[in-house]
Amino acid sequence: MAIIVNIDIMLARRKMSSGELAAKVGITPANLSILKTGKARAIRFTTLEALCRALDCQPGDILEYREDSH
Amino acid sequence: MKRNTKNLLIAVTAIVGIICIVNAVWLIVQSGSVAGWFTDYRNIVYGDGAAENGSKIVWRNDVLGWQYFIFYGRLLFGIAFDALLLLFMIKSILALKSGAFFLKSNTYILISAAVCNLLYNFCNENIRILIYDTYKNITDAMLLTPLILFAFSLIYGLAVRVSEENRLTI
Repeated sequence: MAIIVNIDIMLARRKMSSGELAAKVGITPANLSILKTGKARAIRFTTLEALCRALDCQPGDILEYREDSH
Repeated sequence: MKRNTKNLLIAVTAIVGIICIVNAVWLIVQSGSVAGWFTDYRNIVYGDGAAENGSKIVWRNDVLGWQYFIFYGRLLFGIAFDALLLLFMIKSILALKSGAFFLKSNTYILISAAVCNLLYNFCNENIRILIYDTYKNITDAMLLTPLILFAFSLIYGLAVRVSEENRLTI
C-alpha cells in the first residue's frame, strides 16, 4: 500500500511502548498491531486525533505517502 | 448482536438441525427401501411416484448409468445438502462468540449447498427413471431454490467483505 504508517518511529522517538500507546489511545493492542503492520484498510479521524494527542505530533508524522514501485 | 436475536438464531439452528437430520434419515430409509437394502418402507415413504406401483428399482441396461446417478445422486446430494446447511448454521453460531459473524468459509459452504441442491433436485425430479421412465427432465422448479441460495451466497460474500473492511478500520 502507498500509505505508510510510521507509528514505530514515533514510539521510538517518544520512548513509549506499544501497550502504553494503546492504553492512551483507547484501542486494543491487537488493533494497534494491525495499524503498525499496515494491514489496516482505514483509520478513523477520532483514532488519528487520539494518536496525535498521545504522541504529541501531527498526522503527517504518523502517515506517509510513498508511491508504489510497480 | 442483541441477546434476543442470538437466542432466535440458536432456536432456528436447532430447528434446522432437527429437520436436516430427519430429512437425511428419511432419504436413507427411502433409498434403502426402494433398493431393497433393508426393511421395506416403500409404500409409506416414497411419494414421488417412483414406487407408486410398489415396484423396486428395475435396473435397465439402456439407462443404467442414469439410474445409478439418479439413485446415488439423490441420496448423496440430499445428505450433503442437509449436512452443509447444518454446518452453516453451527458455524454461524460459533462465530458469534468470536464477534466475527460473517465468515468467508461460510460463503463456500453456501455455494456448495446450492450446487448440491441443484443436483438433488435434478435427481429427485427424475426419480421415475428408476422404475419405468427414460426421459430426463429439467424444470424451472428445480432451478429456483439453488438460484436463490446462490444469490444469497453472493450477498453473504458482500457482507463478509464489508465486515472485514469494518474490522480493519481502526
